[in-house]
Amino acid sequence: MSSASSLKDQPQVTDSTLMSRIRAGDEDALGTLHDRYAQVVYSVALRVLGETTQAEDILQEIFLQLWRNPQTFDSSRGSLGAWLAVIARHRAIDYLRRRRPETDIEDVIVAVDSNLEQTADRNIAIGKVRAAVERLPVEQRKPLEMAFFQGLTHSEIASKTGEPLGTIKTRIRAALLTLRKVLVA
Amino acid sequence: MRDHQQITDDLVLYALRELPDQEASEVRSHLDGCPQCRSELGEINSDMALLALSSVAATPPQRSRERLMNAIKAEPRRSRSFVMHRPWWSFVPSFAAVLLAAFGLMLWRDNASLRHRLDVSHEDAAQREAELDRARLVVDALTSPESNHFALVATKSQPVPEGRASYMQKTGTLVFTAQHLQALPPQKTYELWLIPADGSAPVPYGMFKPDAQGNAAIVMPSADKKMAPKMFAVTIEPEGGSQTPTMPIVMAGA
Repeated sequence: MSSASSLKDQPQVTDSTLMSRIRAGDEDALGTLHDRYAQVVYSVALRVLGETTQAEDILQEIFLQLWRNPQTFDSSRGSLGAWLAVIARHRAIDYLRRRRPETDIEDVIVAVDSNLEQTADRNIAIGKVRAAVERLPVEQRKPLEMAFFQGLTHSEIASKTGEPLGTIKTRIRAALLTLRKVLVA
Repeated sequence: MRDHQQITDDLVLYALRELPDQEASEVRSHLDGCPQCRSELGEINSDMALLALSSVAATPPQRSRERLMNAIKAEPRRSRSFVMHRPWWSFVPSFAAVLLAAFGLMLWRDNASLRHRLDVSHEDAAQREAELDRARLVVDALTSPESNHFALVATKSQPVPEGRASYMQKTGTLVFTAQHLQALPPQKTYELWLIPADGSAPVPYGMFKPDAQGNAAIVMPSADKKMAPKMFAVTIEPEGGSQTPTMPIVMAGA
């Protein structure tokens, strides 16, 4: 079994390898994965919940679940980093709505295979996406962030903004399509 | 039930987990049979992942890692999970062993079957070889110049009664001789019959009794009726003869 230090010394160790080691009961592998993606999970949860203790609970819960049920994720679900980001959002929204985590949350499949394993690549991707979001027209960005980070329904958004429901749906889809082009470009 | 287009329109809501349970269940059912919608949902999730990444800025406190590591140390040992989720290639030796065992069993069965068939073949071959040897001896005995040939007849077989009739229609002369006739019961006699060619009733042509050797003869120089015979026959009749033959016919000849 590899030690934590040896794993840290191997930045080329892939997510897939780490998941294999986690399935074999390698605690250090989980620690390495935490080091790699804790910031992503914590930041998303904090953005949704706005409270560090709760965000830390979400972080703890997700990695603990990954340890208990490592089969929850496999490479067919896409990038582990992207998958964790979406899972973190869903768990935080559940927390916000005071509802039990949905059992099918792990069914999330992320099509993009962005390379988020290396810190440098991850930071580049984050920078590009953040810039793209900032460039979104406000009438698109606002309903998108209200739906994604605040967990508001389309109807609630329509009510808050005074826009028709159909318009809200259209703008959210348009915003997502714009982001889709970011990493492809 | 909503159609494909309606489901497609709702995929963003489904990805955001905004749909009510009933509608979410309909989408899940549709996704099971629609690769196009599954692909689109994957793209939407990917878009949302990018959006989530845009929020990455905060660093979790260091204690969160320690908390996680302490928590997993307190977890029950992962032996079951370890066994269940080993990498696929770790099953190769076990699978190979099972495969070899199955292959070995198959070979053993095939070998036993072949051995049985070989034994049967050997028995068949030995039997055919023995039959060939016997046939070869038979041919040798029949064709070899070294063989002596003997003709044998039954030594105590009952001689078959036989007779010979010579008849001249023009004169009505008949000579009849017989051999190997059986002795007659008491009050019985042999009687010769001429069966006419014209289909009329048989005509009695004389009675006779064999001697001790079974021989008998009738000589009739000139018969009253000079008929054309179809055949002659002999029957056993009561002493003094009959006007019609009594079955069975002892012998007959045309």
